[in-house]
Amino acid sequence: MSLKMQDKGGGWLTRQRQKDYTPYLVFTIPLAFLVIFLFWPLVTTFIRAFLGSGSRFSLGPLTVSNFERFATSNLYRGSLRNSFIISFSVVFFTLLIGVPMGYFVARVKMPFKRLILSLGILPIILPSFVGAFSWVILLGRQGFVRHYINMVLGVFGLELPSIYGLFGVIFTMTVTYYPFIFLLSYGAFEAVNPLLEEAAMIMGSGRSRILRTITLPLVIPSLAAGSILVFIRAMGNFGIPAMLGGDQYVLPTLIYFRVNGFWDLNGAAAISLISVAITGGALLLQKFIVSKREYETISASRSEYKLHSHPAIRIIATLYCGIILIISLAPQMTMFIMSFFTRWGAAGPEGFTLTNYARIPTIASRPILNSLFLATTASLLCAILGSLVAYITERRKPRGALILDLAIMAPFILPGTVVSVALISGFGGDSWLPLTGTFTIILISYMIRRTPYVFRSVVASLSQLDPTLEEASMISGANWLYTFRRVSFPLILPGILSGTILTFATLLQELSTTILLYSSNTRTLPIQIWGAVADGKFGEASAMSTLLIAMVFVVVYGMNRFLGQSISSSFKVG
Amino acid sequence: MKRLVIITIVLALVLSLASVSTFAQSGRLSIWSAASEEEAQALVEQFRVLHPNISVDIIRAGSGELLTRLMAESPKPSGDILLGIAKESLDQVYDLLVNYKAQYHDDIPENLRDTAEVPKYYGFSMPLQAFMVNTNLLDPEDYPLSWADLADEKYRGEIILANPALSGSAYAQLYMMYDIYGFDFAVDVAKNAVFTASSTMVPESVARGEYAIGVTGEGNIAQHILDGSPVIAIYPQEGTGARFDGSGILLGGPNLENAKLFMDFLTSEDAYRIILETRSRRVVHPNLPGPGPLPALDEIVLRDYDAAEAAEIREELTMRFADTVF
Repeated sequence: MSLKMQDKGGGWLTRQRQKDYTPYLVFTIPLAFLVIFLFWPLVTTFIRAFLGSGSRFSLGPLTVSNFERFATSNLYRGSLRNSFIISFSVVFFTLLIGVPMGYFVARVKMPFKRLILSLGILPIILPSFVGAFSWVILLGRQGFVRHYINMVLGVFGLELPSIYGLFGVIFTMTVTYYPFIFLLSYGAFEAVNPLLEEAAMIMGSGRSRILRTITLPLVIPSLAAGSILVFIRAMGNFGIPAMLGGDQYVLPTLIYFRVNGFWDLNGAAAISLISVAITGGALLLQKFIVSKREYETISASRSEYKLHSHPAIRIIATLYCGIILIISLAPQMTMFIMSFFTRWGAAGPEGFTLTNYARIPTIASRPILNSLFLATTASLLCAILGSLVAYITERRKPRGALILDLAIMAPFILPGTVVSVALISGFGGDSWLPLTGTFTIILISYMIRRTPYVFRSVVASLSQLDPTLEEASMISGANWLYTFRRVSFPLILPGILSGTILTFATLLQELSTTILLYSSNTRTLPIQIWGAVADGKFGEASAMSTLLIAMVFVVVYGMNRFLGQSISSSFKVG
Repeated sequence: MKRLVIITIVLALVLSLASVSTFAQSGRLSIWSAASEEEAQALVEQFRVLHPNISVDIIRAGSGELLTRLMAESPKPSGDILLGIAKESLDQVYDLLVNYKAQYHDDIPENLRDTAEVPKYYGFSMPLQAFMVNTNLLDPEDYPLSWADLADEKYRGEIILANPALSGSAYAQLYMMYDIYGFDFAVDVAKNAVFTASSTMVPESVARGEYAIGVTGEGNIAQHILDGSPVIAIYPQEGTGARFDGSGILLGGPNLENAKLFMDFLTSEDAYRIILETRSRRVVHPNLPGPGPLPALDEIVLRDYDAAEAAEIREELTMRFADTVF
């Protein structure tokens, strides 16, 4: 029915569009931006991968020598294997803990739901080098939590594996990234049309049968989307394996080591290409799984769920969510405690002090302003760019929409170092557009790395929005701009906002791109935190991180209240 | 909802205005520092006393990031000075530095600067590598005294080292072991050790008692001794490499004349005293003593450190090492 309408309306729109040039004017700017700042880094990275090792960029003889290392070197093979093991295990474990939590919060009558949803996003926000260090304090060889866990495990003759190595990396990533699964599956369980489940119940199905045959199949697309997001993040994370990996390399640490150790940009590009290819494969796999199971879950009339209210399930659900939150927020709590002490010795925090906070105005007021300015501006620009490009690919469906789609997603997978090196060499001091050291170059790097959040979120909103509404407006005589402004935009605004909030939150902690691009005027708070960690001033670093998290939490919690919904829709990727 | 969007935009504009700052000073200087924030700040403060009309920016990052920046921004880097970078790394970007004979040139021993007639860099400090031992975890008779001891099986799992591929000082340690006893010995030591990507984690872990032994720059050990951690510095009997890190002027930087003034200042006794006192670094100035809790230079066995060869075989050695060990 809806499909037929679209065909008819589409034909009509084509004629109308010939007279209305505003969309082309509006679309030219984002497309020009993408060509200059996105395609250029991507194309150079692709070409570099086939040049000999080193950093010379010339269209000389092409070679696959950079890739041969994956066949000849143990280090390369090991990194590839570790990246695979880590990414798949992290997806598995995040599903294992995230799905029940999403189900409980969506379907069980329990207190503090909004708080749980807001706290649930915090693990993603802590800069990963700070998070990993907190885990060392807790679970390292002298970690006080480790001590108690081993006392319990000791009864069974077991011992917790070392935090340095694959176990530590998988554990830390799992408790960092499960929010993606939790929030997405929460959104999905919330959105499943209750009439379907009620129908099954009326026909006499038991709860477990309904869950197995109706509810779970309906949320599979969302779980697949969440899994791919976790997969991409686990595949691309540098901070955690760098801190905890010990002698276990992964692809991002290998890339870092090629660039910062040997200035071998071409070799690094080849490794990036491999990791992009793997992620691309995972994206296709996810599309394949989902396309076979696309069910309608959205209906015009929303009826309320009957929430589970049996005391036993309420207690289990509350306890489960509480325990997961306590475990996953342990680094934030550790950091909060640490921020009031001078150091964390073997026996615990030592030397209570308030100077860590007292020093913030002197050492970090400018970086805080810069961070807020950069994150806010870049989020707004991402919102504009992401919504327009999403609108183009989703509504206009131009030829090459798939390429546009992949191109805008690629920087999401490319390591930050690779993106920033491409930007510096493209727009350095002697290029046609010198941008080094400016706010602009940081804004551009943020935009190309974070637009995918808004883009995906808006694509998801648009795909749920019936085009007939827009057509009705056009038929009534409104031009394109008016229609977009008064009809489409208000309807997709929640999608734009949720994507933008996530962008804002993750940009406030961005380090890997900024560290190569910042100048003294554009220093950000994460740079300041990194510096404090590098100088061994963990108290100061913790105080600044606490401030950073507080800022993000205020924004997220405020938005949750304001929008009256979770920001989970912003996680729809793939 | 519309109001929210407007508020956000207004906020962004206000913040952007707040972030635009004006500089009254005529001269400027941009320093890229691998030395700690405190050290760079303390040096700049003193420099500003001498040259109050030059405003100085500090970019702080690891030496790997700074070199990546330099090579990406070359031939017109946005910085003027590279501060506190290992000599091997300075040699790696030798062509991107400026020859300049600093005011106090004659005070600096020849083996602690670039040996060219008009040098490209001068020594900043001597980051001697030493064993950091946690005295709560090992009895005195169990302290490792030599590089050879590190390969002893009784230390299995008790040693923490930084990854030689990612850290300049960790590579220097690897090269010393390779130079003294050969490649297989370095692999034997690696069997006893855990590697971390962040070189800060080494002293931090030993101080907290995560590991009994770490190999790190002596300045880090001094800091933790002063903080009251139960650690001591042990210098290997075979000798530790007489390395130094240095500072130089970037070719094509925006403020060449101010950069020269800064190099003049950096080679003065005052500057070296600041470097010595801020983070207990061993400095290269002959008039100044060793850092507080550490022994004087003549009590330490030094070994020649062939920085040229070390730099030349770096890629081969680290790749071979990584392929064998990891």
